[in-house]
Amino acid sequence: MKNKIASALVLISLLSACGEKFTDLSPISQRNVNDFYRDGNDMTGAINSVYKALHQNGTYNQSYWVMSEMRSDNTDGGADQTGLGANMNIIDNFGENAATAEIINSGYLDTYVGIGRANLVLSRIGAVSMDEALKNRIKGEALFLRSLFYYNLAVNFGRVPLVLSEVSSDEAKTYPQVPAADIYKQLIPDLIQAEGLLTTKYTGANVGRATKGAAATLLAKIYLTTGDKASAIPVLRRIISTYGYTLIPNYANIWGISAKNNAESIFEVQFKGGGSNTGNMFTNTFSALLIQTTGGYKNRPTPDMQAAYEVGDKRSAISMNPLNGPLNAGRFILKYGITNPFPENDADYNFIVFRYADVLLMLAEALGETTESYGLINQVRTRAGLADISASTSGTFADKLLRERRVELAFENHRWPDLLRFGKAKEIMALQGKTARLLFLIPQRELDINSTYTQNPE
Amino acid sequence: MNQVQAENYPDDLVKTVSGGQVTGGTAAEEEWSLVSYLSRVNYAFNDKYLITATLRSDQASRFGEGNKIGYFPSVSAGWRISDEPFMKKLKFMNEMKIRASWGKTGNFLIPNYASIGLLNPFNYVFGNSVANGLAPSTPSNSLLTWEKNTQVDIGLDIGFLSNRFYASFDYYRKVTSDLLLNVQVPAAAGFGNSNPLQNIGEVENKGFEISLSSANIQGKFTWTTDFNYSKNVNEVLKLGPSGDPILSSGGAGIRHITKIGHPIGSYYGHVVEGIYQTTQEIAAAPKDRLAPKPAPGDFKFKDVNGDGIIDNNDRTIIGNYQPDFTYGMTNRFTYKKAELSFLIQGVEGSDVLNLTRRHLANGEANVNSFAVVNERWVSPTQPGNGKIPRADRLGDLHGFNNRPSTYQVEDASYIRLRNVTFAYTFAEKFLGKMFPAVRLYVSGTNLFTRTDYVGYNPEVNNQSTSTGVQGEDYGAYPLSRNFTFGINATFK
Repeated sequence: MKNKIASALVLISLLSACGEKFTDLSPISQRNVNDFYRDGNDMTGAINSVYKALHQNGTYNQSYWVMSEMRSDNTDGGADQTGLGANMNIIDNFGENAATAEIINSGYLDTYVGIGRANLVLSRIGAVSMDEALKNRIKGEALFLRSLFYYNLAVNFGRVPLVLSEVSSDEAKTYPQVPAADIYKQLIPDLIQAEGLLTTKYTGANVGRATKGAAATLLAKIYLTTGDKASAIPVLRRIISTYGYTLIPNYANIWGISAKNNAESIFEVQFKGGGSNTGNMFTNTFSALLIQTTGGYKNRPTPDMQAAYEVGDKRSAISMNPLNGPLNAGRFILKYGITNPFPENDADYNFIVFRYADVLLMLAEALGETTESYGLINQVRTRAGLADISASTSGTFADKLLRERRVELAFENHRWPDLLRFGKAKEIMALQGKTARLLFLIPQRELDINSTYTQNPE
Repeated sequence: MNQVQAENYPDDLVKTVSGGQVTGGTAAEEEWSLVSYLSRVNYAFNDKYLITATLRSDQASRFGEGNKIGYFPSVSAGWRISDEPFMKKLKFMNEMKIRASWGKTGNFLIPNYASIGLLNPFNYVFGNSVANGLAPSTPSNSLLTWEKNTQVDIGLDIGFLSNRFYASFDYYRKVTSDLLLNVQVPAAAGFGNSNPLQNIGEVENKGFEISLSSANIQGKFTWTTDFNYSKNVNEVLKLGPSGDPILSSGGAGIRHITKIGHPIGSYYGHVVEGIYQTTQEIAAAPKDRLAPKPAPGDFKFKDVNGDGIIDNNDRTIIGNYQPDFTYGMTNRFTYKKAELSFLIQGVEGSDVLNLTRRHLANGEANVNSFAVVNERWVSPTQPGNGKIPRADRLGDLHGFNNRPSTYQVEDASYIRLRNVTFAYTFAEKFLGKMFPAVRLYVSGTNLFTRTDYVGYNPEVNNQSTSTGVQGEDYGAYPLSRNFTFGINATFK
């Protein structure tokens, strides 16, 4: 009997070897990671999917404007107090909790989706034999996009895990939360490298990809966020002198379907309506003149926002419809269009992330109160049809600059990070009768998965 | 699987896709393979000592590279004690046998490509035209491998009086290792809110089973009874390297927890302590971070960790689907050609997570409600039965009564008259020689159930195929009650 057992075992081990190929089955009708990432074409598809993360509900389509505009004194959740409107009003009033704040939670999750895809590109591209110039450009794009996503996480959530390569689910669990300062420390060299790798300008089918200017603008913003104004200055001067951006003479021509990727735009999220699953959601959401199946329009400018525009400021009527304004009885945002020939949530307007006016105002911020700074601010004011300001104009320099940023960049997801950077969030929100929480809560889901993670102060 | 879709049919004369405008279609094909080898040795000595040993190897395509093969040996032994000479004297005991077995089995019931990251299109826009993008929508996991069950079983069979009375006892312990479970991945992995399969942890099931059968009365009138009873205890022994509990979403968000020392997929949520009657009571209670503005009539949730605040850290284990025990009994009576049998069966001590309560018991009447909602809190003078809160399910700026809590967990113990059958077999001569055997019967199933469960069926399990989220009722169909009338006839 011993012999029989032994021969059975031998048989098994022999046959197992034969079966090896028989059970190596690749998916038939779906592409998979093992067969992809082979050439330049694959890597272009891979980098494009990183950009696609800019379209997510948790990024520029919804969560980012909720977190950067609605959270601030610029806008509120709107009149609708049911469903999505109710959820937004809770966030507007700093009342959300970590378990149920879907909009904030998807802001965290979807941002990491973008980071994960960028990490995959960066981890795989080294081994791919492909055109060197294309390889460098894709690396630069991945570094820029990853930095943009991490910047949003660091500003909004503070301590988050810093993952910089493709990781398995188990490995991801081993990354600790690190302070925002450590995130910025990583982003600075990444963006310097990205600026080196990227192109100044694209044509044709590549318009909309990240440029040197985009990387430099984010780099300067991060220097300012970390308080390193001296390092921001040369970066901002470089953008102004060498990358060829200008202020579009008419503020109204910065947005609109025919104004995409104009001479003032540094980086914008590209949308295309018309049934290709690439349209934006927010045009409908913001406009009081379009259908909102989820209730009333959202991200409604506050009375305080309306009052922030000086008399004669041309930007006011271009940016928003005031109370009892010409278009509708209520206040609502105009920058992202008020018509959409396509179905709801499929609009054709882009979202500008960075533009030249922001660069001019950031340089003024970096320089502090100087004649040159007032000159930069006045470039922006002149276009708006307003008189110059100077050191003798009432108010502190910081207040004047912050106010100018508020009206110039209204509804462009700058306000909340600006309030934090200027150290004014608590003070300004108190004027609205609100007790500000400076950081959003880490999703309860993440705390449940990793018991070493800690929650931000409530 | 292939599908083609067509729309805009001009008329209904042609009912296949050719009759309309073809607007889309997909062709999806999957395959899987399994290579198995089996060897078995049987050995019996004098019909008294019985040994069987098997060894099988299985290699499945679904698992990760290098982790596809599983080896599953088993050994079982039996000793028929009743055949030993020293037992022959015990006349009343005609059979006695001791059985013991040890064996490993494997489970590979997972999706065909669960270990490979699959790419989906994620298209973006450049130069105002759509550009192809591709990214994995599921994480790769080349470590994915067989889930293994190692089971030990010891049993005793005894038959008395020519098997007129027969009893079997079994004790078993089964340990499932490399448990295949859907585990939430951290956001930092880059896959959003996904919960792919992982081999994580060890779960133990141990218990015993008793079955008795007895021919109570023999002769012209016969009565036999079969009875069975089983008890099982399920406990999670290990979980991943850190031992952190795993929370799982079933039909409606996170409501299950798999935690060391507790049954797998236990229900997880807040504990309802009572209903606030007055604003003073609310003021004196711990502050509820999840519901800043509770009002009289709202649930008072328990501060489980005693830190003076009610928040997500006060979620705790609030029940599980595992019964304390199950039982069944069949009685069969015959008299001449007539036969009557009935089966009673029951489960004691299992809980069901009745998610329909989120809608049918929230009191807002936006859908139909359970009748018990009539006994809700209405005002301090009409406090109802003290178990149903006021009609308000909103969160955040309200009391958030509808959060995962004991309010949705119900005792699902039941006893059921599962089957009654009456049959009559006609005598051969009764219908003539052409019909040597004609049997008429009526039978009814699920005739009567005694339970406190308010849903349709306490046996419900909406997600029966997903480990870790067992025991949910989220709009399951009721059990049907069947009446069958039949004739069995044999023709010559």
